[in-house]
Amino acid sequence: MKRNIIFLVFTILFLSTKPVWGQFSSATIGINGLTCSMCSYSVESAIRPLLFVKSIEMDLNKNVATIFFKEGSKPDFNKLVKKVFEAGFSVRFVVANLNVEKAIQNESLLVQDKTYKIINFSQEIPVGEVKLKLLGKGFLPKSGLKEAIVSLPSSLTKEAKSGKIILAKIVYP
Amino acid sequence: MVKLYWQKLSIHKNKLLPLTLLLFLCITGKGQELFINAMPASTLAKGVWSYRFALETFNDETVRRYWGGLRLMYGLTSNFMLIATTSISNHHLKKFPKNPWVYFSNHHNTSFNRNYPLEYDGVHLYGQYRIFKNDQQNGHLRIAAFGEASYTNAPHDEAEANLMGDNAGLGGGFIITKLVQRFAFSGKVGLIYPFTYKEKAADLTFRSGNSRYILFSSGYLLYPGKYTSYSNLNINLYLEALYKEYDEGVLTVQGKYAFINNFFYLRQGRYLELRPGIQFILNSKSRIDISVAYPVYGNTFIRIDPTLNFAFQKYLFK
Repeated sequence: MKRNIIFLVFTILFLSTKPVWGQFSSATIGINGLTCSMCSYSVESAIRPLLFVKSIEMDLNKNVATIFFKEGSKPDFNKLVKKVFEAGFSVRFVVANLNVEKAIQNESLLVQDKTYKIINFSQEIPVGEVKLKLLGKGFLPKSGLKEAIVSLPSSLTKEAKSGKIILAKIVYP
Repeated sequence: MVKLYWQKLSIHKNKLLPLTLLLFLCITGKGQELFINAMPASTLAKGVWSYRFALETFNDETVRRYWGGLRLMYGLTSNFMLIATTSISNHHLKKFPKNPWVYFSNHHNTSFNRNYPLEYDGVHLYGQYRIFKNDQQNGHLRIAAFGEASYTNAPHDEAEANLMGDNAGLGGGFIITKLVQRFAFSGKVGLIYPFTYKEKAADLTFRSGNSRYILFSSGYLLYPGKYTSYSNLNINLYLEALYKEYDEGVLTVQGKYAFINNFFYLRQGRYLELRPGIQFILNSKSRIDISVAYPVYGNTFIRIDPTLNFAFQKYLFK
C-alpha cells in the first residue's frame, strides 16, 4: 500500500512537471533600416544592457546581429526585438539557436519557462543544436508575418497573439 | 552703398561645380542620412542623448560674423525626439539705436559702423515625430513631422525670418527621407511664422516676413567601401540645396510704417543656395561636419555667402 502511494505521488509529480528540452545559446537578428555603422552601434548599445545578454556581434555589412546569451539566463525574445524598434529600426528575422538536451518528440516544447510551438515539426529532433525561426509579431516584417501564419489554424494564432506561446519553424541546414 | 551690395551679390558665376556635384551624387553613391544642414526623418534612438557644437561664419564685407550654437538632443520615444539649441552671435545690436531710420537706412552700408557685440541670442526648441517608416535590409523610407519654437530678444533687421537666433517665432513642416543602397535623399518642407519684435523706448516694432523653404539633401558614403569594425572612419560627402522665400518685413517707428522700397532688404525675396559638405564619423559615436553655402539664385540677407559651417556632434549611447 505504502509503495503504491509513493508510486502514485511520483507519477503525479512526473505528469505535472513539463519536460524541459534545452536552452537557447544565441540568436541572430536581421535588422532592417540600418544604413550606417552609427545606426548599428545605437542598436547594439540598446541591446547590450539586457540582463540575459552576454555579448553581441554586429555584421555591419549584412546588418545582422548575433546575440549570445548568458548561461542559465532566460532570454526574452520580445524584449530583444523591442530594443531594435526603440532604436528606430525594424526586424527582418529572428533565428534562435537551441541546444537540444533531450530529443524533442512533439511540436510543443518548453524552453526556459516559455512554450514554443514548432509549425513544421515532422520527425524527432535529436540532441544537438537546432535553429528556430520565430514567427510571432515583432519577429518578422508585417508582410512576412502574414505569409508565415496564413495557413495555420486560428486557435494556434490566437494563442500566439495572446503571448502564451511563441510560434517557430525549424530551419533545416 | 546699396550698389556695392548688389555688386557683391552678383558674384554667382561659379554655379557649374556644385551642380555637377549634385548630379554626381544623384547618379552614384551609397547614402548616409546624417545630413549636415537637414535633420533626416529618422529620430534619435529612445533614451539616447546627443550634443552638438556648431559654428557658422561669413565675411560681411568689413566685419566677420560668427554664430555659435550648443545643441542638446534626446530620443524621448522610438519615434519622437526633442532638440534644444542655444546660441551666441555678433549678428545684431543689443537694441536698435535711438534713431532707427538712420540705422535701417545704413546697416548694409560698409562705411557704417556694423561692429555688433557678441551677444546671447536665445533658445530654440524643436520636436520631431516620425509618422511613417518602411525599412528594408539596406535602406528605408521615412516621413516625419516637426514643430519648432524660438525665443530671442535680438533686434533682427531683415525681411527673411530665421528661428535660429534671429527671430522669436513658430515653425513647422515635414521631412521625407529615402535611402536605397546606392541612393539617398531627403526633402524638408517648412514654414516660419516670426513674432513681432517690439522696443518700447524707441517706440518701434519690426516683424520679419513669413517664410517658406525646401531643403533637399543628398549624401554619398565615400569611405569605407566595406565595414570591418565600428572604429572605421566614415567619410561622407553631402550636397544640400536650400530654396527659401520670404514675405516683406514690416517696420513701424512711432506708429509710422516704413516705406519698404527704401530698404531693399525688407522687400520680399527668394533664393537658392547649394551647400556641399564633408563629414567624418569617428568610432561610430562622433561626427565632424564641414559645409559651405554658395548662392545660386536670388539673395539671402541674413548671411553673406559663402558661409562656412563647422560642427562637432557626439552621441551618448548607453
